[in-house]
Amino acid sequence: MTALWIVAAITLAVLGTRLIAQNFSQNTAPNESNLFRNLGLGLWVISLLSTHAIMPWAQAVFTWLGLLSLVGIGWVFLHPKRRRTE
Amino acid sequence: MSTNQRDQLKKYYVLHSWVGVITGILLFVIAFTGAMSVFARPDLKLWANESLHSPSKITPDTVAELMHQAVLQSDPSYQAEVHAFLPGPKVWTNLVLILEQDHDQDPDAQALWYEYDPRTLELVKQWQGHHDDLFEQRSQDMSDFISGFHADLHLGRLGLILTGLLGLTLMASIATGLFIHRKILKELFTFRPDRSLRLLLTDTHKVISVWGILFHGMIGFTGAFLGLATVLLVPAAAFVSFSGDQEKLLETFTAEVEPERSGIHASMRVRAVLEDAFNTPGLEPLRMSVYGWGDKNALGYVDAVHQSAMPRETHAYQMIDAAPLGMTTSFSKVGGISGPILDAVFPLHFGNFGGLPVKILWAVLGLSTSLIALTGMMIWVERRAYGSEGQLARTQYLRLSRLTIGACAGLVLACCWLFYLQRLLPSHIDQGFFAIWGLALVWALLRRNDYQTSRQLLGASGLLLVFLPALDALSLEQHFFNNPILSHFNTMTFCLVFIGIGLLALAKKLPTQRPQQDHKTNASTNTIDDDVSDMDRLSAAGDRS
Repeated sequence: MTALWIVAAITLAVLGTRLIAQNFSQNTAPNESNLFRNLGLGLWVISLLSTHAIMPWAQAVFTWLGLLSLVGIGWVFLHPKRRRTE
Repeated sequence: MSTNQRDQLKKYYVLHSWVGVITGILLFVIAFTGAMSVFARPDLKLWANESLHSPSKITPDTVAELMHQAVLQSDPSYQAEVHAFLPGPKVWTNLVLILEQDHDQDPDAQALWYEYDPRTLELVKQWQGHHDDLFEQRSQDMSDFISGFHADLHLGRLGLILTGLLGLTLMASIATGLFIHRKILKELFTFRPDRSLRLLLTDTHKVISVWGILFHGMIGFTGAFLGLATVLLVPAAAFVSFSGDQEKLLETFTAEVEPERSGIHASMRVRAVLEDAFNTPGLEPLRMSVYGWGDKNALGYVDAVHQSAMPRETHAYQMIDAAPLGMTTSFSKVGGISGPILDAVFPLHFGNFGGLPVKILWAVLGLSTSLIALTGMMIWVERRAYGSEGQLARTQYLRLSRLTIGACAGLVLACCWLFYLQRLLPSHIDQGFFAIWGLALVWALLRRNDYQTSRQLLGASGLLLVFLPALDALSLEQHFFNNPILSHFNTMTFCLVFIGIGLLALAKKLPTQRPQQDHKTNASTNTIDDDVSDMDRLSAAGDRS
């Protein structure tokens, strides 16, 4: 069960990051951009709640922040569209 | 941007780059060893000590019996404090009983040390000597070596001050970096690996820094606290609030209080206390201490970790009837919001509050902190050796580059070598570690091509890791190859991880020389790319003004 919650937290953090990354895309219209950002932030919150499902709040917040850092770094380094600013 | 703002930012940029270059190598060393230290206890300790792979005979009964025996065969003056360090991968590998004379009253107080093999309960070491020499008796393995090296570089108080100051400089670098990079959100998603070497380095530096900013800030703050607490903060707090009396300050806030002796004899219910601690769900006892052994007012303390709590817990007992007196943490007596914050410092720094997943997370993020230091050093050298910022000859900057590669890649090699030292030369771990690190450093300084050197040193590290399971097979009775199912789970996991990381290091084709295109571009124009970054533009503007 713990493993399932961990997978859920990671998946939601990745999806949230993907949507927020879309917010910074040059091809996205401003109104769409805000929608992507808000949806992404929403997924991040649910990811935090998934982390909280397996540990108390204090631990969950720190763990989730660490997880988000890693997901963000991984997203930027591994994403195929990372060269968009060139 | 006004000239004033530009001047201000230029100052921050200069501060950021010079703080970074002065502390860069040391920050890499501390961050890399920190990433390893995350696994020091219990994982590395479990891997390093075969005695922990076998079933232990340690129970409340056996510990209580051995404590009573040790007290009976020693002089009554050694009953001021009686400690039992329970064996396990989180503290020590053997059961250690320590009996101490009252060192508060007598500066020449002596102590006794009894050490038992947990598998057979056989006495393996006995020692008597001055109280101050007590903890030098402890045998060290590679997990103790690496966590000690991370904490104080094996330099004692000086090392603690150094690592504490390094935490402060890391926080200063984060603050100045935030001022310099004004397009921080855009930089979260900007990575241009194919444009030029310098862009690759600056983007990597910024992406890792910005995404992990809270982690790096937390590590800087907690590292500064852990380094400076005992050597500067405690004396300063004692000076302000206790007229300089550090002992009184510690007594006021410590979880373990010595009882007032009544002079009335009573029997000690050690077994009942240990049973209560062992039977508490989720609690893992690490140490039991009895103050005022044999006295009616004697107090017992069980130091333990709870699987759902962040800080270590100390459970107090009345020894005459094993009645529990409550639980405290290291800083719960401080009170207010400060107590829980101070209690969280240690677990937060080492990531030991959420099991293996958090440890893996902390280790990878710790490696990212070391990468920030390394890329920062490389950017500094690149800008001066091949850009417009250098005032010295290129060879001077390349010398610093060789030193950086030798120290950083050499440390990685020495850390991989540590595993071999643990199996082959366990009593010469420190000499072996520093010898390999020193050799790697000399090798890097003598070589002309940094790129080739780093490739060779990382390749050697990969080879060491790949062959480590073979060494296990030669030196352990139960190992991955002869009994993958029954061999200890920890050893099997380590084998797979070693092979995986080793193959990754060998497969990663690092360049053998500096990319020529980038070099030509910079050499011919001697200007900075117009889209490099805020920092570059700022630097260029500063140079022009």
